[in-house]
Amino acid sequence: MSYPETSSYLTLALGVVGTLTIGYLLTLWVRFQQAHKDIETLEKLNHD
Amino acid sequence: MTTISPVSPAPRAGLQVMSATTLIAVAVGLYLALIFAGTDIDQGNIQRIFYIHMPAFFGAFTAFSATVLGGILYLITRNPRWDRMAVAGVEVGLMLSLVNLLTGSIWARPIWNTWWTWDPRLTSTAVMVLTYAAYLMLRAGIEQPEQRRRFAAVYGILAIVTVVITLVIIRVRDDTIHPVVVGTGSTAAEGTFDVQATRGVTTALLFNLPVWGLLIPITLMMFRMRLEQLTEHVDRLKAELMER
Amino acid sequence: MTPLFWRACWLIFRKDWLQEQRSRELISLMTLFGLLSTLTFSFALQLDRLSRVESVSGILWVTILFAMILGMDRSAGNDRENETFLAILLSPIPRAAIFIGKSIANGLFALTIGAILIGLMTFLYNLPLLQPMIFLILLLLVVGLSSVGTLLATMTVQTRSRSTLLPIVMLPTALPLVLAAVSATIPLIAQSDVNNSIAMWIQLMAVLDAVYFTLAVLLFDFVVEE
Repeated sequence: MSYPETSSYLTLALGVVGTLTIGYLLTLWVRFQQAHKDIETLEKLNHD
Repeated sequence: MTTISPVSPAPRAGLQVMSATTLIAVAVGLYLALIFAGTDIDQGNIQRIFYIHMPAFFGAFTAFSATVLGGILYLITRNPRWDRMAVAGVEVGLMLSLVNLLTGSIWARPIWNTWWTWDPRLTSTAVMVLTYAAYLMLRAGIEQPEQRRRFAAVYGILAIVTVVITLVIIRVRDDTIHPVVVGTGSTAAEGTFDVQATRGVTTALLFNLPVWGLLIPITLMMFRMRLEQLTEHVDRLKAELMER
Repeated sequence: MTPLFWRACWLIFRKDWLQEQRSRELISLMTLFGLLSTLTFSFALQLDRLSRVESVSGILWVTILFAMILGMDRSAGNDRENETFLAILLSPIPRAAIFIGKSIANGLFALTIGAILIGLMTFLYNLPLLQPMIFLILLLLVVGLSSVGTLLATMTVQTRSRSTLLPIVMLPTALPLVLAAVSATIPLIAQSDVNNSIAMWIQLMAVLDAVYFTLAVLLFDFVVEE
């Protein structure tokens, strides 16, 4: 039973899905880090 | 000096449970989609992306529903946590819509022989993406937090109405070439596959549907809402600093 | 809805109408824009006497949409500058009346330039645009767009980004209406297969108008909380 060879497209599609989801998680992580850093800095400045 | 309530660490436990559950579920879902389900005779392996493509659309809808719900509840209660849910819904919804659009486009290339077509279904999804991108632009353009939340809530309600209407128009029009897997499709549809024909299709689809349709948007939104809490805390601290 | 309410609507409408009569600012702005837009599209799409029906239908309604965005933005901006808006808000006029008065005014300005554009395109493209049905479509389109537009313009004019934001938030919400208008107009211009297709689109536009108007009236309060 033969079927059209479209696996490369599947790989591409999965790559896109992975990039989008993991990419979004990464942006969240980066923003988390930045927020934590800001809080640390600001709390120090505020309590001086 | 006003006392600022610290961001509570308590939600961490719930978030960890959700994350773990989601990760496992995604892994199982991928196994079902890529290995367990049989290969489609007409389309080959690219058909497997459908197990993510369609659930992602539902996931986007879940997220955008949270946005309109959050907007309405914010306007009624004026509690910022609803606005946090609203903005989280838009970001996550946009990401999932892009997953839907791009996987659809990649699928279309071998099946319809084109990356894109101005088919009603695709056009309406594109409109949905742009509508919510505009939501984020609106938020970015307003400095005052209370005004931003209020206006975003109003626009969020308009946005979902537009999206629903556009989707209804699509269902009514019969000239789409987009295959309809659930329910009757048009005679013009290309690339439909028989759900019964290949082994494991129903299982893979039914499992992945709640994964991408519910688990992933909910978990991602929880993360995003927590981030919003932190960002608001930062803004409060900055404001406090300015007052001194 | 008491008679007092309708009187309030009338007063708001009259204020905008008189303002426009004196300055003629909005109508001239919108008309000039309409002309320029038509010209630009004609060149860009290379439309001559044998122009395609679909193109003209699209150009007509999209131009009116853009002209309305311009007009409503200007109108909201004027209110803001004159501080008349603040005065109105401080008065005991119900918010819904302000909205209705304003959107009717915006709608009438739009109808005016819409009629001008329909006439112009009949002349330029030699197409049978002067039909009652097309004017009905114009009316339906304008009612819906001025409802949503007045709401959104009042919102965006209060933001930092002002005029740049209104097109961005307005275009997506306007899309279903414009799509319906264009789809309904094509058979009318081509004068073929009229009855089947356009009934559905006209009904859809009416429903959309009802939905958008109701929503806008309900949401307007939240937009003017000063």
